[in-house]
Amino acid sequence: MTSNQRSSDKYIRPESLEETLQLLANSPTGAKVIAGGQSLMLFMRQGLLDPSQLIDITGVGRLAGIEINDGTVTIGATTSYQQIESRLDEQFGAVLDAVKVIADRQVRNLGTIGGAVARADPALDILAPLYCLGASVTVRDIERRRVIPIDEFIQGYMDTALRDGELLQTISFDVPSSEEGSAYVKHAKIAGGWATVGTASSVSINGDRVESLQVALSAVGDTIVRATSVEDALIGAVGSPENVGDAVENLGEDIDPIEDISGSASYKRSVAKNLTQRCIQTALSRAVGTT
Amino acid sequence: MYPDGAIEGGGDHMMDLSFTLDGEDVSVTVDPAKPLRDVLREDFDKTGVKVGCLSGRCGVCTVHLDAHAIKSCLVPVGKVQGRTITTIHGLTEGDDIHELQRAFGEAFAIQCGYCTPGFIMTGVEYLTEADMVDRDDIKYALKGNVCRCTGYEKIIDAFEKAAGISGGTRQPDD
Repeated sequence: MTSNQRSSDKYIRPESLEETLQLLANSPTGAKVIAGGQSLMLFMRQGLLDPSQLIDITGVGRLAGIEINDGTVTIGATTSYQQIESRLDEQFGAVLDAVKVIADRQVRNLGTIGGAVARADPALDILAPLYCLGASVTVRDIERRRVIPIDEFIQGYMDTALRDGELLQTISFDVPSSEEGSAYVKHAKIAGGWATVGTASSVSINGDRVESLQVALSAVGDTIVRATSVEDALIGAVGSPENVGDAVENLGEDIDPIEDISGSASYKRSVAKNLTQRCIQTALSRAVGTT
Repeated sequence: MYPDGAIEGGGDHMMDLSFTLDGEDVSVTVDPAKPLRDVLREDFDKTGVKVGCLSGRCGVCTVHLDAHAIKSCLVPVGKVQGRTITTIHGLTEGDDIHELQRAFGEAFAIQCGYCTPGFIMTGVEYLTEADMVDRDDIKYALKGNVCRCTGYEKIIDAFEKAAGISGGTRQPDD
């Protein structure tokens, strides 16, 4: 902006992380951080939010980009789904699968991974893969930095551990090994729509046996739900289609979906079983290297 | 009040914004929270940027922000300071039309025409970037654009035509 242009307190574009954290430390009540705005603008237009200030963080270099170093992937909060899709390859099965089924290309051009994690709606597709990969979130305020496992960062329905003045900076997870495979499968009523149910899984194998397994579901609870009964039933067992099918029969103990516009509870349970079976099978094929 | 009724705008929060719009350097004094779509329509008369739904779903408002196709109802105008916006009005110069627009005409891919600018804007980005174009790929690329009239088949034909693959136009009894 030129110096004789009128600026406004209502929309600020900090250029550095330090400036952003200063702004957050001093921001008025009702200030909101905006990255892609794909969730925020909808809330505003629907009358659910009326921010007194918008702090646009998309110009801050340290919040952007994907780094892969020493076996760790670190993704800046303002990284768009489109950027994730062009940077990560099939090795990152579940994350890539999820990005591809989020909304549509216009939304993916602007929508960010940080926006999804901060919003913490359990129907957001990127979250379940992050749970399976054991991702952690780095948050900062003007005084300190905290690193929080994602399943502790997200505390409830659209509820996170983010404190006043804090900013979500990066999301990190380990680069999967060659013995690992992961996948995300989603069912939605309409193309590009919200998940009715989604399942992410990440598996590592030792010979033909399942050595470790994480299974996490979208849209079946207040938060992402780990299907621990399914995991327990399959870990140590041969990763055969029969054993996967048997393990998935335990899914009912782990999830408690509610009836809503996407379907009845029993419909969702039925879909969840099918998706979970398909997802674990795909993850296994990828671990073995046949997909 | 804006069409959605929720964002009041105006008052103390006005700011000066300058950006490039359809090849022209422009400026406006506006509430930065106002949806870009509404600024384009009301302040710049870009009525080819349409209003279609209240849920960010339908894609009739699609424009280009720098290189990217985006839904202008989901972007606050404050975000476009210093950037480049292209609407359907600025896709080509003078009386020229884009080959995708020509293909839509030849494939009879337009009925009421209301969704068409949005499809063209998404489509131009898609065709510029796509390595491989087939019907499934086209459908995937167009998830964010809704058409209530055509049933989509002729729109997909138009994309195939513009991408230079297959015959494109379907006969009535196919």
